[in-house]
Amino acid sequence: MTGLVTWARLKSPWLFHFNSASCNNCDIELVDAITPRFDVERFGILVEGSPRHADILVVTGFVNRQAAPRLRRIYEQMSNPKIVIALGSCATSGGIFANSYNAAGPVDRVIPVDVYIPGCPPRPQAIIDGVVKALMKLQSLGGGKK
Amino acid sequence: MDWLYIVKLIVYVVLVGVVAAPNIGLFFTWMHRKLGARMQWRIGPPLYQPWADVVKLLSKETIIPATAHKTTFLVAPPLAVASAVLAIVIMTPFAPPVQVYHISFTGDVIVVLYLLTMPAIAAMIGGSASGNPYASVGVQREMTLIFAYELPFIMAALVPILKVGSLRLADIIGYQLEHGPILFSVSGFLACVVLIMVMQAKLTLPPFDIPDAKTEIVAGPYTEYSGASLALFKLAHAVMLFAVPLFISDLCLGGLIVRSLSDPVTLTLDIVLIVVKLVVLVLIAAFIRFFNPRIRIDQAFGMFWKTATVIAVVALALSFVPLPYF
Amino acid sequence: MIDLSLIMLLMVLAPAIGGFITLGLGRARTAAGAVSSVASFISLLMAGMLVYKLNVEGIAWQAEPKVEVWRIGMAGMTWEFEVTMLNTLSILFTALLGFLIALYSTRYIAKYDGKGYYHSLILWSISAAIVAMMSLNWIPFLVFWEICTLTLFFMVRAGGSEAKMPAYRMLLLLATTDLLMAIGVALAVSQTGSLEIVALTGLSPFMVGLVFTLMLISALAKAGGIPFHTWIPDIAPSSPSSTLALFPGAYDKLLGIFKLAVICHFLIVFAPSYSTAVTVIGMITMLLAVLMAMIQHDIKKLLSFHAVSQVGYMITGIGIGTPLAIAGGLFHMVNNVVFKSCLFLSAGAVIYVTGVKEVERLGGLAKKMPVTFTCALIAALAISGVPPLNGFASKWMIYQAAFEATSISPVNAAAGIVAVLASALTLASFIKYLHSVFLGPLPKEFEGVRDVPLSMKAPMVVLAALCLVFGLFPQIPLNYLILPSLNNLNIVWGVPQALPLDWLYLAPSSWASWSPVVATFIALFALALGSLLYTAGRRIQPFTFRAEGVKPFVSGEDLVVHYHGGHFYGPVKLSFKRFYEVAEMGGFSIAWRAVASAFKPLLRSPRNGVFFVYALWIIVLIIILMVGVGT
Repeated sequence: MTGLVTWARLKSPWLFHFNSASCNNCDIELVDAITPRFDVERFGILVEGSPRHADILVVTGFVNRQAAPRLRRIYEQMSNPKIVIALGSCATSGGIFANSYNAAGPVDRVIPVDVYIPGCPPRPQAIIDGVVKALMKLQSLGGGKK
Repeated sequence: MDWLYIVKLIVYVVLVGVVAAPNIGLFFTWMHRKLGARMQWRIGPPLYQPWADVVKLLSKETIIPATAHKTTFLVAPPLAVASAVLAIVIMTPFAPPVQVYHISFTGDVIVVLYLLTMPAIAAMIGGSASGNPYASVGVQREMTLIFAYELPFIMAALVPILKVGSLRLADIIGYQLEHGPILFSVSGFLACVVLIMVMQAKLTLPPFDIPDAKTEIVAGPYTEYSGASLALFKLAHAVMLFAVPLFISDLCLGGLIVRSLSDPVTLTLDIVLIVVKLVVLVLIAAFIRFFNPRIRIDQAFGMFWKTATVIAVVALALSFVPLPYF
Repeated sequence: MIDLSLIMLLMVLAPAIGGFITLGLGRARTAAGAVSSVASFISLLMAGMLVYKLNVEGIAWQAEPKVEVWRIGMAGMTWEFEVTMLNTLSILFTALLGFLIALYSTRYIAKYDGKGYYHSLILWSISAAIVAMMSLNWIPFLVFWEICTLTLFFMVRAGGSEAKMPAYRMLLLLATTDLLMAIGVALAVSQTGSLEIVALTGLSPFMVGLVFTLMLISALAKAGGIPFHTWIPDIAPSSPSSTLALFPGAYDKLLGIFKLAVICHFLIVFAPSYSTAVTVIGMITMLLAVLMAMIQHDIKKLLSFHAVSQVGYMITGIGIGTPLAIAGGLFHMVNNVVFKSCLFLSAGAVIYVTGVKEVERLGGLAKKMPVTFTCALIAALAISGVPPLNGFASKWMIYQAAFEATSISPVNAAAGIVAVLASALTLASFIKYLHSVFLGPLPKEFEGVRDVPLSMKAPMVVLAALCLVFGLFPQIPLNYLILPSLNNLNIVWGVPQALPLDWLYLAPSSWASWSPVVATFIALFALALGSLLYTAGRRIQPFTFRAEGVKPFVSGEDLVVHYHGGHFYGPVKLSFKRFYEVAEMGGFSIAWRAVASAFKPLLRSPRNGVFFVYALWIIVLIIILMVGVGT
């Protein structure tokens, strides 16, 4: 039974994308990944509109003080098991906005992060690679965060 | 109390409703996605994708927000699945000489008509119960959409009923066995066109996916649903993807007719025809879906109340003409 | 066994005497409530025994099932009262609703100054309605019909100062239409020379048309058919919900449609084209009323427009005229009484608890008032015609009859289409009602509300249970009450004896083979499967349900927003702009405006107006008497 469930979770990861004060470049690259050229739907990846429907939270941007509580709320509104991917240099480490006056820190200061995808912006190939690593983490954890 | 009858009924319900219907529905879901992918020069998901989606959703946590009314919130998804499954159970009579089950009764067309609207009603009740403003807007749009397509739907469904003169699905299918599908007549063709338009709206597929507009209202009535309850709604949607084309096939295309069980040639031919009819309808739905953007609710209203209603009225008027191909 | 005449006597006298007792009790609310409940319960018991007797003694299935029991000699004439299956149907529900509303009003009237005479009015209306339904002669029929109108007038006025003018307008309209009926009766009596209702068969064709029109007008006005419906939404906002549940919910339909069935039975044989007219009136009523209901903001007004719309179904059923159609119309009359009253009572419960009647200010009450919500949900689904509730059963009969009768006239197909459409619109309106009042987030001001007391909950629960029972086992009301009453209308039914209640079978009759129990079994099976899936998910994911403090998803904001249903039908209102503009300007209240302009001087002085109309009425009555006695 657990084997079936783990297989299903691997084969059907649904994304929710949140932009926390990003310059939009990473968002553009993420959207590129679902275009026909890269076609992530063949892995079963869908981008969903409501965080309650999603397994993977993809966060871009360096998280300013306005976005931080909202990011926290959205993370809590997702249903377990869930995985967080920090997309782009800003999300991973703050990037060029690291010492900004309104930075609430990179993403892992607000919510726990599983996979970091560096790059400014990361190419869609890197994004797909990161998502695959996230799925492998899901598999190794035997079901992801509980 | 005839126990054998009850046992047979239960077996039939389980086989058709629990085993066959959801699986066929999920298969049609895959067909839609694969076709869309191919039309967009993509590869698209593998065959097992919808099943993986459902199992994954079942294994996730169901969150009930504080503003939701717990019982209504949780009862709505199984209700949607139950009505779609019941519709399919009622809609699968075979015409003579093969009577698989005497399950067709007078007036069952009306019952099926109502049951096909029930999943939308359940979605609305669930959406209202969740207490989310996006869900409320989704409920409003869904209800307005139902209001829009109900009139052409009844009028178009009335055309086969009036032609056959009976409210019984088995009679309608039997009539088509003798006289050829209702599609091969002017009024029947027009009725079929209207029914296909209404099918798009019933399945909330583009151009009528207004209640489920991702970019506008997040996820419409399903916004607060997660985990097993969402899985049941997706299952209901999949079963509807099978039920509505089956309804149109029964009314206009001749339905699930098997002419004789003994002759292998006609048997194979008939089974192939059954599959072809359903698949063609699903393909039409998929094509319309991937070629069209979403339209606004007031445009949808105008489209149904003006265009579709006029076509349906013409079809109804023509169905009274006693000439052969009308 | 008790003698039949004793049963009938108790049935009528118990509430009448109870009425006087409660009048004497005045302000002692609980005592008055108890007395009225007991008196109406006695009436209900007697009505039940009547039904039992008629069925058990096999009278129900005779060719003309009736029991002529009373003959009262008064003023040199004999007044006859009989009990037929047809009026037993109405009497049973009159008594039932009277009892339930008497129980409900025990607490509810506290909101309206606890006037003791309210209970008397309920009890007297029970008696008056029952006597009217039993009358075989015109004079007692007219007199007691009018007494019902009078009690309704006072019950509406109990709503306070803002109920005064609407009550008066209603009285004016109803008295005028009843006057027209009295004139019709006078004409009929003058021609046939008899004061008996059955004598209507002896009219000349020209008279048939005239008399039928006059009586139709009054039946429509009482029940609420367009264009005589305006009084119902008019009195709705200000009158107590128990009044609305009793009269527009129940008695007006039971009296009005009963009378419509009777006059159609006697007169339409001569003029079949009139049945088309009746069907058309029914169609217009169904559709127009529900379109108006969709945009209302006041919950009682919304429900009252739906009451009008449901009457359209009954009128259509009787207009179509085939046995199935009339059975459907009568069954719908019964079902409407059940679910409409339940809805009015639940609205009354909401108003009792919150004091608010606008849709915009309510919300989320389902959690605080679970019993009220469940009853309202069941009744709302029933009125929308959702299987397997009772509304679906009767609506289905009407649809089937309409589509099968297309060979008689294509108008019937159109009637069927309009009926299904109106059903969808009813659903739309009730989704809005449930969403805005019961579901969604709870406004802060209603944090401390609790559900209504037991005496108010019990009637709603009984009615909701009846919705379920009549929907799951439609054989019970059909076989014991409705099909036998068709024999009174000289309609030969296909089944000569009552069908057995083999509830797991698809009912073996030739055209009503839907087995709701099988369907419910399948639905329950699916629900069980669903819960199985829920628990399966729970085993994989241990913390499956968490609800503490989880806010809804509003794009990450910390908001609790209620998008109430007040603006739900903005797009619809826009698309039907011209229709709603006509309605605003009073295009559909032509009957009322005719009455108002005719009686314009009366409107300024209510007191004199009432007396004037009634004086006119008494004069006509005396004329009838003289004509009837003279010949």
